[in-house]
Amino acid sequence: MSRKHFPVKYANKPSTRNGLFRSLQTHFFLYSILSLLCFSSVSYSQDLPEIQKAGVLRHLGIPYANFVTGSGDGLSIELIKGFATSIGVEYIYIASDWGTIFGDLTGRHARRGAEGAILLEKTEIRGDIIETGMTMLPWRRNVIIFSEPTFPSSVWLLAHADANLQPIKPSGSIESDIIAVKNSLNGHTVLALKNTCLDPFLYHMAETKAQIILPNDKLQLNELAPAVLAREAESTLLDAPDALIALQKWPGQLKVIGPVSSAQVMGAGFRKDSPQLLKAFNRYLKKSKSDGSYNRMVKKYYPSVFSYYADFFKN
Amino acid sequence: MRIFSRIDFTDAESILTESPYTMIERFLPYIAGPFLLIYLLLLIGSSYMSQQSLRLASDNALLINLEKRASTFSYFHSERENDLLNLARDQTFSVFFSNRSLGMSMEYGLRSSLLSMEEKFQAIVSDRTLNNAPLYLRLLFLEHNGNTLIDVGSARGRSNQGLHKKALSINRLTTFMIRDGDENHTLLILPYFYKNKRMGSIFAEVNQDEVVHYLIHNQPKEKIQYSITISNPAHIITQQTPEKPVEKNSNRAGTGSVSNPTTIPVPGTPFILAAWYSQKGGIGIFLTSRWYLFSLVVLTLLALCSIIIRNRTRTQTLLLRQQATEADRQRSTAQKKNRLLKEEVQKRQNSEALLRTVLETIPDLVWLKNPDGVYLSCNPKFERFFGASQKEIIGKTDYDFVDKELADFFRKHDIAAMNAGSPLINEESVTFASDGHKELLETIKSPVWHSTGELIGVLGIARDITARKLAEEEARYLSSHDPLTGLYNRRILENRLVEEIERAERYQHPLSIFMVDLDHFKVVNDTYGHQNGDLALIHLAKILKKTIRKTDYVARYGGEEFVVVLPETPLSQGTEMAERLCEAIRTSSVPLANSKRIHLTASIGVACFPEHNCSGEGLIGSADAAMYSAKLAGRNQVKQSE
Repeated sequence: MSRKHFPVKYANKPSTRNGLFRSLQTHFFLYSILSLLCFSSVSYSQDLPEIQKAGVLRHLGIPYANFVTGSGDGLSIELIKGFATSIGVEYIYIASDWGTIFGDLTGRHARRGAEGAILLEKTEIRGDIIETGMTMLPWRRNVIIFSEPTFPSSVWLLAHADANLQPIKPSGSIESDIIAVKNSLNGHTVLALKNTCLDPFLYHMAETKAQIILPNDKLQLNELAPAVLAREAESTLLDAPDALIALQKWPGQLKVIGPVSSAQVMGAGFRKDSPQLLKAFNRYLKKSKSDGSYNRMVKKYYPSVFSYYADFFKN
Repeated sequence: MRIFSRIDFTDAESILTESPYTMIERFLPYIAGPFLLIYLLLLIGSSYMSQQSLRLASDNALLINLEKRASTFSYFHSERENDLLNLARDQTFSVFFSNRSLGMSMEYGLRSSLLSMEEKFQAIVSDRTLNNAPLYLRLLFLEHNGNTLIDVGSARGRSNQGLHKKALSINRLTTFMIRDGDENHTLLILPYFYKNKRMGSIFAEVNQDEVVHYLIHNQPKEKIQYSITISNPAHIITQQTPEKPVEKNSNRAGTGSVSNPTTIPVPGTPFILAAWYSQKGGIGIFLTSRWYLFSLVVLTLLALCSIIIRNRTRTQTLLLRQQATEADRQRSTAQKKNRLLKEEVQKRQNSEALLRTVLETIPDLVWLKNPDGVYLSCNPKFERFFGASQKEIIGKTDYDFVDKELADFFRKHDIAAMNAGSPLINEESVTFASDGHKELLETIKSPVWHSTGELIGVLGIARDITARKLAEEEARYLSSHDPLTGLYNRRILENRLVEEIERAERYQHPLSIFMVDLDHFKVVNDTYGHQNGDLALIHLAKILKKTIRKTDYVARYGGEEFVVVLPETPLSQGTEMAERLCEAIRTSSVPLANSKRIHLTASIGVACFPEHNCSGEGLIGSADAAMYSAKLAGRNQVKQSE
């Protein structure tokens, strides 16, 4: 059964589910047809042959740093566009958010639990690949499968320049530096985001006696640094690429206190039943790295990160 | 005047008889000189005037070119200053220093902004090129404490010691010139301030040579050369070889000759631009220089000299031709003489070879010694005498080969020959060292004189006369002795008998003689043969020798007749001795060839001086007559002369 996709390269996700219900009430007949199409697709495999047959690759993304800028470009968008071309299909961007992105890919929502992932209710599959600067966290590996690493990362503590927090003196050991950072947080306010790579649970932030501030779900990752500048908190957890961008954007107003996590990597996410698609992507990624096209994309969107993590981007 | 003085008027008649063409050819070289001199003087004057005008125009053109290039260089320099100012205004600098002032570490965040700064530096180095050559050799950020923060470009990594001191001495963008061996570079130093605090300085090293080459020498065939210097010597940083001049001549093809340069300051920069016309190559430069005038003068002098030389050369050519002819004749004569000389040499060589052959062939010993007795040469026969080769003999003396006594003998005769000045002959009995045989040598030693009168030495020639001597001895013996019996022969007998009679007469002494004749000797010959007859005669001779005294002598007078002479013997004593002789013959047997023995007898006649005769012949006749008396008396007896 074929599905029809509109050849739009960038489509905003409906702002809320309530809006969708209002639309269904107004256009009940149309909703019924769409629901039939969408829910029926859950039960079908969506691997490379089906995608090539359908002729469209749906890219799930969230505006985040320079991976997805929100302006129609970004490192992730260029990367997946190239991948779509390599497998001979059209590209379509599907906007998502950190709360629903796993459900948009797998057809079933999921979140971090105390010991791994918790699968939630079923939902519509809206995309075929997640590429939005997603960190490969253990609980996420329970839900999806990741490609070969595409980007280096780690989580730093970024503070307001005037905050009463002093950058640590590097000791030469990342573990010692993490402890030094956490020991300095007693009583200070720290922004974090649940269900993201900046989830305070992942880094045992509760043990630091810091005052963890978890903003509402509407807050995006790239809004954390502005929140600190707005004095909503003294500091925030932020992944290193985003922190480096923030330091460039607001020079002299932010400072890096030190690391909160050890080295991490990011990668593209796939449904577990899309091994062929994953294999095709890894093949494409390897080719892009070898011919230098991937590094050119990285230099374009993360020039400072490219130099900073020069070892990672060496072929 | 010297030219005309060379004209030879001595042969006036021959000149008058010459054809017009010949006369023109003869006098043209002398009248062409003054005309050529005038022509060249006019050429020099006009060239000088033209040069003055051309030089003025060239100076104006040079000044215009200089101003144009100074303007270009000024604009270029201001662009470089803007590069540094824009770099210092870049946000990456403020980000880095603000992050660092906030205490951030390189490991966590600060390195990113430093890398951004470095990328900005690198971007300028990469982007700014001049005809594909990097414009900036080095971009450097030195912190105020001298620490190197950023260092990019092909010249990165050099020592910053001198640069840091210079940077500390300035408070605004300043231009320096770096001397680095054969290369000069421009150095811009811009102090960098963050929040009114001096954080360090940005250094930009510009490839000045490339700039000068491509911005100023932009026309490859341009004859004008330029150089850039800096007005303030304190702004010169010498890095390697201080002994070289500060100025950098931008002419890469070589300096050539340098005319007086024209200089103007480059607006808005501390530089001074100098220009001059290249003297290298280009006929135009030469034509406008004073060398051209000088060349014309030299050419004029050369032309005059060539005319003079040509005339002299003609005369000398004739002389040389005569000399050549004479030389040919002499050469021909010399060749002829040489040929004759070669023939003479060949003859002499042949003669020498012949002489050498003769010397080597003749059985005589031949040698040559110098006055000191040192051998100069010898032949093979002489080599055998010493038992040494010629090579071993030459250079040595007799004392090296024979005993001292013989050597002294040789030396004595050598000296005698040299003193005598003529050949000396002597006989020497020598022993040959080669095989030990002896030879009696007749040696002729002749002094040898050089044509100059100098004594060369002694030439010795020795001939073996052993055989000759023996033959002489035998002949001498045979002339006085009977070959069969060994007794004196009749001729000796007669001579000595005369001598003995003269002595006996002188001293009044008696003298007796016997005439002995074998009895029946014919019968012996007929019976036993002449060989046995000879044996009988030999036997009788032995008896005679044995019987007579030492002062007596006996001779075979003929056939079977013998004469015995007894000096100082009176007749009586002689008769007694004849009796004993007759008895001895009678009692002795003669051994024949067939081992038989026979007995013979003899008849003896005795005569005495002066009783019987006073002459030898007469005395022999008296004895012979007495002997016939004995024969007649029956033989085997003695009879006194009557």
